[in-house]
Amino acid sequence: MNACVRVRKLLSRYIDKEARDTDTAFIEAHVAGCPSCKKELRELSCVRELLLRKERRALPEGELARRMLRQISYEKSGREDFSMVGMGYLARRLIFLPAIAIALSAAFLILVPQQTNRYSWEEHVLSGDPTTTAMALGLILGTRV
Amino acid sequence: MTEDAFYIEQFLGGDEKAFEAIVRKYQNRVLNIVFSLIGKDRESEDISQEAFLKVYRSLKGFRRRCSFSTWLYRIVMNTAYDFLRKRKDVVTQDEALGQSADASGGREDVLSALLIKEKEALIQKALGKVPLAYRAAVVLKDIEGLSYGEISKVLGCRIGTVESRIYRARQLLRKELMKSRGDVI
Ligand SMILES: [Zn+2]
Repeated sequence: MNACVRVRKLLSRYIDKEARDTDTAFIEAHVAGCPSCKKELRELSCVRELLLRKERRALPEGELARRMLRQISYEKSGREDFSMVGMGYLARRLIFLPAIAIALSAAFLILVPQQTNRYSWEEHVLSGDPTTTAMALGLILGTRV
Repeated sequence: MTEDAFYIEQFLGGDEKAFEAIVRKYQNRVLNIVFSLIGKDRESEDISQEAFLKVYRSLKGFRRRCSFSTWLYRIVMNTAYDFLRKRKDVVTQDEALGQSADASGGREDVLSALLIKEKEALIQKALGKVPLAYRAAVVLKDIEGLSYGEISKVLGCRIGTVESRIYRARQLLRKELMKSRGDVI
């Protein structure tokens, strides 16, 4: 095998100080007299040095452990928590319903002529009819729906 | 018994605090491996947390055929790979294996300047251009400081393969860093 090819094959190990002693001796002897391999060795060593000196990320002591425990306890409380979250979501959605009802009521009051037969709470209670959604709406509007 | 083995025994015996000790020990190591692979801060933290959660859930099934750290790093690598696959932002082999830099002189000076200025962003960007298989090997070597033997166990390949991947990764990094010399000097 060509000496340069053999050196290149062993170069990573040599740079990382994992080459066998005999290989180390061979590489050093070759590199001393081969500008091309010498250049390759210097440049790749430089790249290695850049990575070794690369800035390291660091989270505060125990940060990931804390986040993990939070997630684990959240998952353990499981279904209850989930349904609560679901309820919260539903509740937020439902907040819009009364607003829509009020807007509809206002529109209805303007559109429904005054002559429409009035329908009071007393009247309804006395009639003994079951309270339906339509009726409740009618009661709010003061008119029979 | 190693420190890791001790904590694992404690954890399997019902002491949840022992797992916290494991996470504390490996937190920043795992974070830096993940960050070097994907180059995104927030996501790196999430992926690291996800990897530790996987370890937590499957520790009972840990067969001790390898050291705990090897097993942990395998899970970390797989979690990061999954993320990159989903994000599809892995540079293709063809792109990254393009023409090598020309043999013009002055490279050593450029690399020396890089060494002095420590252009973090450029290094991370260059890493992102290296195909994942090579990137993983060089990150485990130069960022985490594992031996060739340990890397071969984590990545599940022969030591000779680790050797050539690290060599190739460094060549590609050199090429990418040379491309960015205009930004450096
Ligand atoms: Zn040579």
